[in-house]
Amino acid sequence: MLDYLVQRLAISVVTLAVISVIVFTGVRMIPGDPARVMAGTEADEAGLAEIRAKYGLTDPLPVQYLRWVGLALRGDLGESIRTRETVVATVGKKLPVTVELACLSILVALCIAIPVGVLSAARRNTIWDYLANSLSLCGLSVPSFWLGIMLILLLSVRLHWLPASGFVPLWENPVGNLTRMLMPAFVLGATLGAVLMRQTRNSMIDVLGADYIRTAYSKGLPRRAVIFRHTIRNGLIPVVTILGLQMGALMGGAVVTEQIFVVPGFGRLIVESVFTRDYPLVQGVVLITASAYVLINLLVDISYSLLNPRIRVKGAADAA
Amino acid sequence: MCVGPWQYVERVSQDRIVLERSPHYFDKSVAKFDRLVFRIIPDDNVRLANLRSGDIDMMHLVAPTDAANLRKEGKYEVSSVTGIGYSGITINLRNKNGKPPAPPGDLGTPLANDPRVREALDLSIDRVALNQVAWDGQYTPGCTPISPVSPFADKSRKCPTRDVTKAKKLLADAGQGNGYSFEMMIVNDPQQRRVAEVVQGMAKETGFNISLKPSEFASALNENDAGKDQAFLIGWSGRVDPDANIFQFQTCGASLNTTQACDEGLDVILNRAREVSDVAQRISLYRQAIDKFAFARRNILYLYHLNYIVSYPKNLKGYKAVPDGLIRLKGVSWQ
Repeated sequence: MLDYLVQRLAISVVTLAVISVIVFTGVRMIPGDPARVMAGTEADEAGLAEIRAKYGLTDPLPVQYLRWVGLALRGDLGESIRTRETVVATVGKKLPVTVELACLSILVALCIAIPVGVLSAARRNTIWDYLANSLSLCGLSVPSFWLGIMLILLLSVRLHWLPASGFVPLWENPVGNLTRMLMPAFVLGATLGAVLMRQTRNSMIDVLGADYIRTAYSKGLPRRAVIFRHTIRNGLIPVVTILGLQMGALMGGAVVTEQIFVVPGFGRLIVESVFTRDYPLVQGVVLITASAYVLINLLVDISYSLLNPRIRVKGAADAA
Repeated sequence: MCVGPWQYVERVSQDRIVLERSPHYFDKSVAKFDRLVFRIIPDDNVRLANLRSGDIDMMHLVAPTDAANLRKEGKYEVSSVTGIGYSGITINLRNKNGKPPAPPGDLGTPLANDPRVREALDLSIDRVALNQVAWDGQYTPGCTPISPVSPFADKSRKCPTRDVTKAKKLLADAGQGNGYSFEMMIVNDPQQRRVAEVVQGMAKETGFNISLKPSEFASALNENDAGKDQAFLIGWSGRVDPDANIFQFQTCGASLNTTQACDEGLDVILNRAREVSDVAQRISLYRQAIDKFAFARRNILYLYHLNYIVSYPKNLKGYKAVPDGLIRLKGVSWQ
């Protein structure tokens, strides 16, 4: 187990290094001058030159990269060219929003996917299975921007049950926060739930066909006990994998959903940073998102061993 | 340093700007609200939904297509004022190596070198119809950089009407009787695309084949500066004095003269307009200047002026729209 962890950590570091190079060079390949974006269209060349010198934009690319990496390793991701706020401070404001939205979306997704997926697998080829599949198909097919607008029109404009958009920090007003996060969490959770539901159903069907399940039934265990005590844990392993991948994606921010519900999260931040050629902010946010992705997937791998003791004893590959 | 009715409290990037009533303002009776929260909502539909649900009390930049519906509903006031800016087609005349101070160059194209081709393009466009189709008639057609609400606007000026026959003849006289193709860069958003497609459709009847090149805003500005475009559909937010809408775009070597157009006679007029303070005299000078650059040279074809449309509940009283588009809440209150 320890060897496995050390190996995964080493791979994670290399992955992050490669990502840092890609994002550093990628953002600089986009046409457009960040000095011009910052100074405005009426800036003269002297003013632009001053901005470029201040942010080191005229230095050779390797020098800029090494300077950025050196500072990043010390926790200094630089300063936003546009807002002059440190990247760390900006991320510190946006990250809790994105984390909260991601967690609530996952909660919604799990509340939909696990019960519906288990029911669908346990009652395969019945009306419940068909209904569940139809629900899943709807969740996959309906675009999030349409669902979001429809929810706003129904729940906010028509019924006045929920606020249409905006964000209030949880510690300022918990009720205000949750009422505003409900719809965006549902929009994101619906799509994710549809994916997870199908995976839950499929993996539950696989496990329900296993020999040890047949043995459990033949020993006289009731159906409910077989499913909840013996099937779900193993059936959830692939679901955990997908959950990890999706959590990482959610941490990157759901741009469309954030735009519709005016949630000041990572998605909108990164889009705006790219449009304004705010190199330090783009680099910093992408690096943090990538780090979160890598960390979450590492935790997912560790959780396998909790769900399946064979992985703990033998390692993931042998347990397959 | 001066003090306004409200003072800054906080700003949350991409979310809100909060102001509170200032205790230092000399006339406290005009600041009726304790706090003002400016919420940043980029999407037009979501902004409208917020107004309808009551989550916001005032909506800035109502989409033209929504303004007509809001007026019909009768539940909200819809205030519209013509802005001080303009939108138009900037045509690259001599920008081969970049904008000033880079030297101009010969682009070698009929669009750049022959004013008859540009006049033909100008006469292909029906500005009133363009406004009706693209903006539901909510904006203000125009053919000069000076907004009709400006005291310097030439009230006697009539915009050219569409004349396809004359446009075709001009194109033929310029040796392009079989049609002329060029690329027009546009900012990649649905509103600009709509305007561009209307222009494209109108110009096609004359013989112009305009291909549209959508581009992200900062990249488009870059390409325009570098002289990589033939034409660019873009506007200018405008300034109160007409000089700021004209001088830096039309004089030789000026900082925003991305077309690299140059006419020293025109420069004399525009410099003179900077020196005098009499409004009537300045109107006359700008009339002469506009005759030269907008109706002879045509390096910028001015199409319309954007209207600032604001909507709010009927029981919010005292709002006065100002052509610079800024929201001023002094004296505004709930009844």
